[in-house]
Amino acid sequence: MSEETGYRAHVRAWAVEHHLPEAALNRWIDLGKSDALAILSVAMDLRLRTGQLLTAFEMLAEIGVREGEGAASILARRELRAVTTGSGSRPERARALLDKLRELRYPRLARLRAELEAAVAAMRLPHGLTVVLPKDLGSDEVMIRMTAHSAAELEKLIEALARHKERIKALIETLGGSDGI
Amino acid sequence: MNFDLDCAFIEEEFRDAPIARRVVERLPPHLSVEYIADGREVAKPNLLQADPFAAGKRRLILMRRRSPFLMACPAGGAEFACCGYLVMVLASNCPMDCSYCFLQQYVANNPGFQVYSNYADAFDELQTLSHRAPGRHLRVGTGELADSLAFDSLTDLSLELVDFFARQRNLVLELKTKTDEIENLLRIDPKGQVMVSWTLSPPAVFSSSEHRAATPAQRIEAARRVAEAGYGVAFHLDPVIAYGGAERDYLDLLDDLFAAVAPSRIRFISIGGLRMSPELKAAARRRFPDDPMLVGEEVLSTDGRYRTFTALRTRLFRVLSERIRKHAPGLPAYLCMESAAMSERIFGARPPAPANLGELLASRR
Repeated sequence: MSEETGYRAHVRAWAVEHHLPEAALNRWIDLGKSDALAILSVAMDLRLRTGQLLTAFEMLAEIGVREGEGAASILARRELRAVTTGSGSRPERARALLDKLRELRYPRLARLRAELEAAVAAMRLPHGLTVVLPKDLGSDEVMIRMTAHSAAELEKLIEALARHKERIKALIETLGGSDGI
Repeated sequence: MNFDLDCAFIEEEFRDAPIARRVVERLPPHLSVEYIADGREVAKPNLLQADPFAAGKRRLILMRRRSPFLMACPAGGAEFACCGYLVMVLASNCPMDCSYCFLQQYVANNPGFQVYSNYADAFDELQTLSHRAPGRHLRVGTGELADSLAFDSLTDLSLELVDFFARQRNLVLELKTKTDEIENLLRIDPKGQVMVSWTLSPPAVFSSSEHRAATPAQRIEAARRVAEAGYGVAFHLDPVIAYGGAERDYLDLLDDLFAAVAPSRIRFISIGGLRMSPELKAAARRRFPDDPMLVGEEVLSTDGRYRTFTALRTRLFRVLSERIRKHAPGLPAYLCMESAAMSERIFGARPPAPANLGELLASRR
């Protein structure tokens, strides 16, 4: 068995075991030995599920196009190595890998989301009052959720909301493309 | 432009039509021309080809249009603030190949490059429309399902179109293009009833995504020339793609545009963000896997399309609209396929109803 056939055989074995669609397997093999084996190594180390592998694969491909880099090189980055070889259970590290890949794939979105989440946390809103940011910042809609079990509690939450009104307005402005982005 | 055609088909009934004669005369001599009964058969995708959509572009078909020529703009929708644009379908598909083009999905089941040779029927539809809407100005464009000028060197269709619209009072023609095929236009007087619009992108988008199109500089130069010849001109910054460095590049593009074309000659500018249905995104990524413009920070939006996440998209729109206002304070500008709320955020006022905006854009001189 030639060396190339060897790596293909390993990838194929994983794919068969995990019922990976044929098209995805072909794309994986087409990456070439180094990139394909780098993904296989992570898949085996973290025991990725099929869906996780497909998500990671797609994000690696897209990061690769954005940054002109192959999967092996991306996975060798310090921030990803820290996740794949770090502490934590395998499922935790698998989740962390996907989160980190998402940050690399959507860098400006991830940065803005982190800033907005920090701004919400800094408000220290009382229990029962929640500011919900739009999923993937795909709109400029902020949802404010208030859960009260008594008139007094409702009064307290409304006062808290009034106190934080300006900061929440600033959040909405940022979501709507203010200069902060 | 240089066509990359594999073959041409002509429906029998048009064998002796002037348009067929012109096309046959101008096609490369080695290209096979076949006369057929029904062009719809050869317009279907050839699934034996690796890229049936691209193969369709290389198959020119002169055929009858069997549906009405006039239709509402396919980009329109109740959820958007629309511009009242009417589409006249004289052709379908396009010899250029932009990686983000919606035709990859829209005509996937019908990708042959069709030129409708009974186009004179469209003039009847236009006359009827004109009589039904007395006093209203209507903007009618041919550049939605095809580029308006990409095949003009083969067909000379623009000559007849401009001649027809030059005789109208309330109908204005918009020829939308990414080419610099303006030689025919320079030969005739549009009498104020025709505008030529260019889709403009920065050089980075052009070189990455707009295959076979004219360069941005060529498009601006063509606009300058037709404006001098008496045509209205308009521009579509669409799709605006939010790659790294986009803001600077799009602003430079606007500066270049206004340095070349006097604002008084420009009828309007539209702005639209990159938007792709999941099906279009999949098709585009499959066909152009290495195009970085297709893997920006687009997320699934509330309308089911992938769009640049709202904050970044809005910022780009705002910066561009401010630069347009700086160069040309009174110039109408609008957003394509965005909500009224987004439009209000960018321009500071609710957008007019589609009919009113359409009237404004069609009647502006």
